[in-house]
Amino acid sequence: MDNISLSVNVIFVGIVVVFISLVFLTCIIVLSNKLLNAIKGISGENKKETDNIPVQEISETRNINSSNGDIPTDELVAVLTAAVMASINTHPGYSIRLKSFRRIPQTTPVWNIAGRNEYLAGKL
Amino acid sequence: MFQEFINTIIDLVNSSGFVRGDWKQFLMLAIACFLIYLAIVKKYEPLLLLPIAFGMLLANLPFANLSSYDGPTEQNAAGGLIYYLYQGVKMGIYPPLIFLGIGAMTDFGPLIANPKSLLLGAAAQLGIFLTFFGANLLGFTPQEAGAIGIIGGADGPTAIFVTSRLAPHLLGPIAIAAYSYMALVPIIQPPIMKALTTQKEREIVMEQLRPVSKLEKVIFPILVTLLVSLFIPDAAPLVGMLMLGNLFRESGVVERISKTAQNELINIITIFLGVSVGATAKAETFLSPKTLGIIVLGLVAFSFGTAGGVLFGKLMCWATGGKVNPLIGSAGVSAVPMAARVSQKVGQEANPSNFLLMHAMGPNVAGVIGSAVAAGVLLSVLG
Repeated sequence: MDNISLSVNVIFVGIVVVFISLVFLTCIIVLSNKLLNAIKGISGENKKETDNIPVQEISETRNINSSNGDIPTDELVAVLTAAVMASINTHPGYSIRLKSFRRIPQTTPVWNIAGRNEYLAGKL
Repeated sequence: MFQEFINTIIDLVNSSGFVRGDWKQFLMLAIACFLIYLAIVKKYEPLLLLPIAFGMLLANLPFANLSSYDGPTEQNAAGGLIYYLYQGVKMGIYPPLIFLGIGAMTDFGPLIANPKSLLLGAAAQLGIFLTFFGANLLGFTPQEAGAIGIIGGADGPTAIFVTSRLAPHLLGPIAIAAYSYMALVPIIQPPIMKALTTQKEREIVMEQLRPVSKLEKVIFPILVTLLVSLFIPDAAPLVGMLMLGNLFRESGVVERISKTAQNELINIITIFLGVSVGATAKAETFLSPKTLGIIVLGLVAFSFGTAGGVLFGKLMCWATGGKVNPLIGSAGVSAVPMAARVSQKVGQEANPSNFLLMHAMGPNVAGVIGSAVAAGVLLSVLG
């Protein structure tokens, strides 16, 4: 009986203490983030950062393999921008703006696509 | 003369391990070879399982006196090498040093971007305490039950740290159980995750995380160390070293030290820790019903930890109106980054365009902090 009461006591104390400490930590992190933002002044900092970053316009069209004619979503634009930045080896702070996309019919062989998907799945 | 030669050969054979060895030692040698097979061929957490398995092999060589307990004797005043290596485990030095390296390798950005992940890290520690209860019911002492329960934290150094303090005689089986189950996370977790979530919940796509500034990443380790250590002093060695390593990484001004912590230091400590922990697994302590109980309870601890994280993820999903995918809750067990990859994989099975990996890394690294806090609680209450 003593063992059971000790076990229940440890479970209760343990779970409560772990939760309280991590909830407290969560609140502190949220508050410190808000405090940091208030001190830095988000809009002023962003304006300064924007002034310092060189902006390069890329006007050439990037080819995208696709079999349908869907209009690109914001997510697709973001992914393609990231892919372009990675391919031209940009440094932190470098900013580009993609002005246009054009989809072309599927040109990659099916076996290459299958191999690529298998490679990506293996990395995960 | 020929008779003398024969007698010498007979004496030599009679003094060999083949004749004087116990059947239990030979069984332990076979188990050690099986664990070596798992480490090398199946690649089950080889970085630790291989030295642990070989330490077990050395400790069970008949009359070789290579276990962690073979200190200075009348015959051997110096004591064995592994005995001295084991002092780092016994005095609680190695696990915090490993945490130093882990902190230097960990990016807490996803956690800082979404601090609510800490709650998932807390919920996943449920397995520790429920297993403690189960172990107590099975007849283990409270200290042994605490050491067994910490397996549910899915954190090797934490398990070794707690066990070395609460139940050092169970160090061998608990370490082997902890690292084996960590390697089995991709097998243990998915059925539990699928059983506790609906298809619709698994398909939830989460909002992109906000960018985290360098200042936040530098302040975070200092803040966590101060708050957690003031609240639970027994967690200070683990949490403090974890955050020190992270500060090395994020400060950007001690790159040499950060690289050393991530590579040479953690590799050296891993070798010493693995071999000396494995060398505690002598036949008399390992081959007992308690070991079987530890192996079963270890699985229970992992399962309940996963379930606790997923269920709390469901609660968060409901509370946020469907913004949180419950699958990331299972990553609250601190098997970094394997548990986060499992969340990604299961999420992608439900929705191929869903990328949960970075969202799951938040609870995953939160689980490291959560398991260290839970360890501090157990040491404080039971130590």
